[in-house]
Amino acid sequence: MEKKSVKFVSSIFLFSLCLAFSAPSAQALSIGISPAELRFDNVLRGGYAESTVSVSTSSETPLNFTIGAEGAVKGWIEFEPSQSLTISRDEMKRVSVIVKPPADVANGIYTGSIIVSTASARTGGTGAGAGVTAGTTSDITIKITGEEIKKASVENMEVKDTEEGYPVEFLVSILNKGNVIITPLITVEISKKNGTEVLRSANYSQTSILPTKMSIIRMKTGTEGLEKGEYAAKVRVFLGEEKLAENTLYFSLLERGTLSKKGVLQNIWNDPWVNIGDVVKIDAYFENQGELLVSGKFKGEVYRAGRLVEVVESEELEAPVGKTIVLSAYFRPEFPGQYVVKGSVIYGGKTTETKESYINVSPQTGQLPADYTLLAIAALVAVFAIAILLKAGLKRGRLRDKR
Amino acid sequence: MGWNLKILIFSTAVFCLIFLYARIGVLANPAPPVVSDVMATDPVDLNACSTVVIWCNATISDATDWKNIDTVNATFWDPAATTIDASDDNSTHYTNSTCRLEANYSLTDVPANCSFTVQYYANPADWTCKMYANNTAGESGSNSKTDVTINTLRALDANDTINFGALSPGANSTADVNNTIVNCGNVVIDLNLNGTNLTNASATLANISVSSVKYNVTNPGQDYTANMTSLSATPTYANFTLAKRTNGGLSLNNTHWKIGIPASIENLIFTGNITFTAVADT
Repeated sequence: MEKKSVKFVSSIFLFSLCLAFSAPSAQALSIGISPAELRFDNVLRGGYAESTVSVSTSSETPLNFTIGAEGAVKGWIEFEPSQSLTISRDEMKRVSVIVKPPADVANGIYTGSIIVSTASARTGGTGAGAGVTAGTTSDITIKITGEEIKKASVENMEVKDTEEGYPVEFLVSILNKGNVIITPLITVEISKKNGTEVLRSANYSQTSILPTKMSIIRMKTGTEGLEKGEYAAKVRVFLGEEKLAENTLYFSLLERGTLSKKGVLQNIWNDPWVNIGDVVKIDAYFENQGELLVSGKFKGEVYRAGRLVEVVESEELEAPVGKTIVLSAYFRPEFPGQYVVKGSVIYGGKTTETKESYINVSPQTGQLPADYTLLAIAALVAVFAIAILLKAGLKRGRLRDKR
Repeated sequence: MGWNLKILIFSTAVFCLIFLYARIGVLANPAPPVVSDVMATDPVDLNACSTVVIWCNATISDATDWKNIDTVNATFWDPAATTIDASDDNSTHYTNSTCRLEANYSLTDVPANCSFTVQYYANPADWTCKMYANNTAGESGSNSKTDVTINTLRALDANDTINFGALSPGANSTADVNNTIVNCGNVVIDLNLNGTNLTNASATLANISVSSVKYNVTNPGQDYTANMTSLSATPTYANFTLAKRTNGGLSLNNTHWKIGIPASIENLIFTGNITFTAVADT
């Protein structure tokens, strides 16, 4: 009885496997990580270090992925962000790799891997035998030390002109190259350009910088009581007793309303080849070349064969002075052909010059017009054949009746 | 005419000649444009099996008028692998002969942006970006940024399913089922392989164990019972040595798979998972 049952089950297994594996054809699944090696030197026991990896794919559709660590360093590593990780061809994800070794670990060199993996694309339900997960690794090496290292460098110092009644802002970029948290001291002495008398002075030591991280410290100093004109500011940066840097920066104190708002639309970029129904992401690269923080919004007009078919716009975002931001708008083409996106960015009551980009839209796979033409021809031939048959049938009937 | 007058006339003539020579000389040889410090995207993280746009920017100055600046072009290359004058090669050398001039800062200064669409298999190395500015008189100025790091990218592409086809209970695959792996990065890769049992929650007789799935990543057409490795739940290293792409076609290779079906098994759909992980080539 049992043998019979197994035989029966066996006999239909062939059929069931045929069904089970009649899944849609395989698609490509890609993932990458950069850099492929991370090295952290002289990390203090119980200390902190940080770096970044970029995770990417060539998949046009968004792909979820997971990130984790393996090896001896597995328990020391955190990721930021660690959830809702999605990538697509034009959207690589930067993930911070944070190293926090325990305080009681022995000095030495420890290794491990960072592993990123796609979610399995086809499992369960109507899927085939094995869904595939694609993954990749970045090798990680951490050198642990018990020696405290206090080391930093000043990467940049700058000051911007300001207007009467507004504070003057100094930007100092400091990179913590050691393995302990540092709190650098910044001092500023302002005098007239070519003058010697110090008219204003200020100290700042409120920002703590974690090991391996760079911080851009913004330090504001009031200008009340200062006349219009050109000034010199002697900026010094100290780490404990050590002077890291000293520089004289020059700025102008201007009349109110002098400073300009100036933005440039550098480029409009989108995927140039898409299918009908695809959502096209249109990125506008806007650079704030002015002297004041502005908010910008991209507005674009989409034309097909010279006719306006849609107006698209992005969210409004703030563009810091000297920075380039990406303003994204979205468009879903409904017909094949070439589309032209003409757009500009509106910021602070001004508009940039108009730039263009092109979208070439192909008919969607499986919707080739040729197929419809063939179907129509086939239908016509069928109708024609039926008509001839009917006519022939009627003729034969009439002949029979005559006889 | 007295000597004094003669000397005066002669001196004036010499002065005028010198002035004219200098003036004509200046007119004929305007100062070449100056390219300020070049800034570049650094480091560069490449995009798996795709491209990434990077920038080299600088301020171009002309002593008299920025409008004298005619064209700006740039070369981005890996100096350890090729030379600046070499022809373009996606692994080692890129040029942009139409860099964009933006709105001028002043009468003499204008920013220029040069972009490069860099392929995923560009060499991981320290590259150099050199920008040239040419004025309407045909003179040129240039400046470079060295040590622009292109980071290593370890990446792969696999087919998202492995379809073993129709098999009877107790049978083993006779033909390979291939899964093609593409190197989507700029370093050589090996593989770690692991998987799960092929299961169905309703199965009471048997599932298909992970070890029933076997592979050979180098040689096709191997017998299921010989020269094939059983898949394991724990990642297992496989020496695949798939080089990075060069300018030819994709760098790809097949992995070869077979399955063995238990003799007693129910009429259900059995599914599982196989993981391909790119690891460092050793």
